[in-house]
Amino acid sequence: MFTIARRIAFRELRGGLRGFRIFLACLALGVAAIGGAASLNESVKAGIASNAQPLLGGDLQARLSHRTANEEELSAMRRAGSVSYQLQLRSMARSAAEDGGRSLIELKAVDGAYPLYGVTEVEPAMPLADVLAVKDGVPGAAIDPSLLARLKIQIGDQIKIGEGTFQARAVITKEPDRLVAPTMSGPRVLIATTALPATELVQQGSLLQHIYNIRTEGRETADQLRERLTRDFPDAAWRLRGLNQAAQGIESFLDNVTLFLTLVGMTALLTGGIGVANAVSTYLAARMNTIATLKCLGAPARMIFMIYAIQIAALASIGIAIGLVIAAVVPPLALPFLAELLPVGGEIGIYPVALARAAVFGVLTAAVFALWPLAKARDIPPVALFRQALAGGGRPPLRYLVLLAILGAGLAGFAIATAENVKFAAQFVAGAAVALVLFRIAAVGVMRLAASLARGRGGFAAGKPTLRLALANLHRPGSPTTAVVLSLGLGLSVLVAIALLETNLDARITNGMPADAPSMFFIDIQPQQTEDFTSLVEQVPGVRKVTTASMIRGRITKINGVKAEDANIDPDVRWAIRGERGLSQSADPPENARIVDGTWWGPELGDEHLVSMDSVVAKGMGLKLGQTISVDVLGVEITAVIANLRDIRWQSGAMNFTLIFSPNAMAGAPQMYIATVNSDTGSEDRIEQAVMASMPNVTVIQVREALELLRNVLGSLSIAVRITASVALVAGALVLAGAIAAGHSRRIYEAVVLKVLGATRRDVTRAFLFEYGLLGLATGVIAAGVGTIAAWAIVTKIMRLEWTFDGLLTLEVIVACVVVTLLAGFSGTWRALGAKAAPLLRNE
Amino acid sequence: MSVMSRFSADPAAIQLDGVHLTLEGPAGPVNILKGVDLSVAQGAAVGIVGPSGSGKTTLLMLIAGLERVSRGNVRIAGTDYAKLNEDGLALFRRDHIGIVFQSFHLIPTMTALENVAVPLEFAGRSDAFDRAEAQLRAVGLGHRITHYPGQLSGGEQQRVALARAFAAEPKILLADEPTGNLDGATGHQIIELLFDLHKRSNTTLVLITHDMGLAARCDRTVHIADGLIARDSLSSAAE
Repeated sequence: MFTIARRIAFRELRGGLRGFRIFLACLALGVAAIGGAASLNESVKAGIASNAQPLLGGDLQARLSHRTANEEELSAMRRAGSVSYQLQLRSMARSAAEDGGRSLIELKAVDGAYPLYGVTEVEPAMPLADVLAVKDGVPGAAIDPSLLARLKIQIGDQIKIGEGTFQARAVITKEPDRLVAPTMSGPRVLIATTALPATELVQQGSLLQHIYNIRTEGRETADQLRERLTRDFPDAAWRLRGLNQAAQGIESFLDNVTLFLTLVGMTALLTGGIGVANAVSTYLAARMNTIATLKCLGAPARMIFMIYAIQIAALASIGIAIGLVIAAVVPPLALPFLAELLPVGGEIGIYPVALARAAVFGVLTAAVFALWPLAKARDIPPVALFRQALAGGGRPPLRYLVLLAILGAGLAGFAIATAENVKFAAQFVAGAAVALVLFRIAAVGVMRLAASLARGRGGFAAGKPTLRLALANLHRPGSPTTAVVLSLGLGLSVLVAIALLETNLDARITNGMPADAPSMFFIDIQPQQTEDFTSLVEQVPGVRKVTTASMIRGRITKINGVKAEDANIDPDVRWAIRGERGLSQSADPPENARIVDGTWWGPELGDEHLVSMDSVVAKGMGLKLGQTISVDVLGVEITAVIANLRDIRWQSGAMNFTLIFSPNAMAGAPQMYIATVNSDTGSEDRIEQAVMASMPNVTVIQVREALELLRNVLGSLSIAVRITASVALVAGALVLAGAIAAGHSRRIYEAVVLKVLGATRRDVTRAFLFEYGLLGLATGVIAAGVGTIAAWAIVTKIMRLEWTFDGLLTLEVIVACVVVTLLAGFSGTWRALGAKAAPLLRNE
Repeated sequence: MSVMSRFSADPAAIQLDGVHLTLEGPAGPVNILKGVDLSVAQGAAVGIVGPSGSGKTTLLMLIAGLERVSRGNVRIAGTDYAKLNEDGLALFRRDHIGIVFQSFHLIPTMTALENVAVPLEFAGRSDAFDRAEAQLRAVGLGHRITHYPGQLSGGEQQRVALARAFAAEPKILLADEPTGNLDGATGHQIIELLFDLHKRSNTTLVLITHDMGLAARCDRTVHIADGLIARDSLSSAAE
């Protein structure tokens, strides 16, 4: 039977692929999006893997945050090979000239061995040692190109960092171990470690990273070295990173980006699936006579199913193949655009696993969405040849519904199983299923409403035959309403949700800062500078309030006696145990403290160490009053009893600490001070100037500038997100085009009959205008509603932020949807208006 | 005596002078009508007969204003078609012409009542639905007014088409093989209905048919062959 079915199937395909362009485009787009995203990910990861040594700076790296390695540790490292030392910190750079500029910088001091792998490239070209060397008594610095404008200097000019003076001798064009683009952090300044003491920036308690890169020289492997260092120095508290962690941050960022792209791809594929179902239905409807004829000639239902399943499979293979070809060329096409963001270029190549996964998605989607119309076609009765009204209705047999459920579950399962973040993928699948059901219900609602409005004399459409025709076309069997509402609605609601998320984030950044929020932050204030700092700043006109607090760097090690890594912690507060955090100590409660449980400690403290904790973090860690938390400060473990819990409003922008210890707990710990300043707008530069002139070691962060940077980063991210999300919208538009194209001959027929009955071209235009306008309006309203609900849920339930509704944006989306639908409708309808009546009306 | 003068002294309801129609076919221009002169008086019934491809339907399309002549002149109810654009022709049809096709050409998404009401609604008649219902009752479909074309038999669909054609009380009714898709008995019913309506409303009827017996029921029979009127005779019914 299969051989005959195959023969008939291919005989029928001789007619070509007309009518299947949308089918092919829908599948190709989804497969290309999923396969392209995964190929790009693998390509970048391969690039990182082959550049792991220069990216890490060695074969193994040891990082210490509060001390340098001691002689014993250094010699242990040197036994494996060469060692290069560097120190990284945030600071301020300013021009030595009177009227020069200032900027926050990321300072990196390197020794003569740097870099162990790769080359630092500078402009004008010269060896790095020459750039950093002392010439005429002044050490050199290589700077990020953006600093030239920020500091208003030229190459050869002098700059000041802390108390030190440097000559900006070259700009950095390539830093081999730089992972993140300067636009995402701060501009880099490279100096020699020998020039560092002059800056006087290295103080007890300063925020520093001491980094030792080791290049193994054959005596032992990096893994063996790591094992030896871990074994011989169990209390070193260093972070050892190997080549597989060379670009850990980038890789997880990349995985998140890939996840997002995959979800967009899956949305596109899902949306395209509706286009697939539509195309198959339209194709099979046009084949109704052939199917009935084949049945009259003795073909059993199974063979009919087989014939058309073979055809759809063949066509799906073409669509998937096109998608895979596009996916395969995504890395070489996309990498040049990502060059600014990525530390290394990707490896161009074919990534079979990524492509195979995309192909499986394509096959499953085609199967899920083609099965229903195929199963229905199987049951077209031979009598359809004579009475067409009888055909095309009803449900397929139960076994096909079961098969459909299995394939649907397979698609969902595959999406979840192959995702990097299983939980997120599962949520997406559940969300997509709910959205599909919602849109289906909405489509049925629109059709019912159209039916009730169209019906009856004296009704809404009475006396308006063009409106009635439009309404009838929205609810007639085979109308494009369901397909358009589902597909365009799905794509559009994703876009609405993203746009509203952006609006809300932007509103939080712009308006989220209360009027009493500080305008400036100061870090790295030495304990002995605090009083001078306060009196200095208070003298500057425009300053309203100066608040200082001590800050100690520490890492949470135990939660009520249980090791932090073993404790059961809510993922939402897990950030608190990752790495070092700023801790504080205070005799008095902070000015803005809202104690929700327990009481603040009095002036008389016994031997017991006490701590005040953020109530949300305490809850996430399962901690209550009277229980303990332990932190590691400079290798010393301090355990304190929770005395009270505070409700912290981080959005206030005021100074806050998750943990504030009683003064006895931190006695003797090296600490720095941080300060916030509330001042009138426009006074920031005066304050910064005053502080920099007498305390060059202090780092200044202007809230306005930081917010501007954040808004810029968010702005460029949101453009990228919108462009990618529009892939789903493109799929929706394809389905819209397909659904409208499928009704092309119907529209021509209607136009002709209306003209015969006395309708002018204006009447006919009005009928189509109503039809597509109403369809676009209904889809736009539903998509705006679903997108708004989704964004509201994310903003208020997940991000726990205040919700801002943007009515204008929602209105814009609805109008855009109406315009797009009208344009799509009219592009296919224009010809209908000018169609000659006679050929259609002649007897067949 | 001319075939026209016995019915009316008014200008002819249909006046075709030297009508030519040439269409571009895949193999070059095709001369479908090669100089047709035809004059039909108001209230007359004319049967048009002729072999397939002789130009009968084309002639009907020209009278309906659905096709433009290549040469010659078409004047219907005193109006020169050459002076009307496409929309003008549509409005003219709305006010003066009813058409019945072999394939019915109902709008599938509208009920029988709505289909009949459409031309009345286009004409802005406030009683569109009442008139449509009365017309459906007149053709014996009072019980089917809420049915969609797909739910009606071929004969019923053609009765809806007849009701629609007569609803606006046109001066001229054009019927292109209205029984061609129907069985004998149903076709007979439709023809009776057609002639009955024609008589009652004094409509000019142009009926295209292959059936000589049917043509003979008209006042005149016009024979078309190879794009020309080969014979134009009074039927026995009219004599």
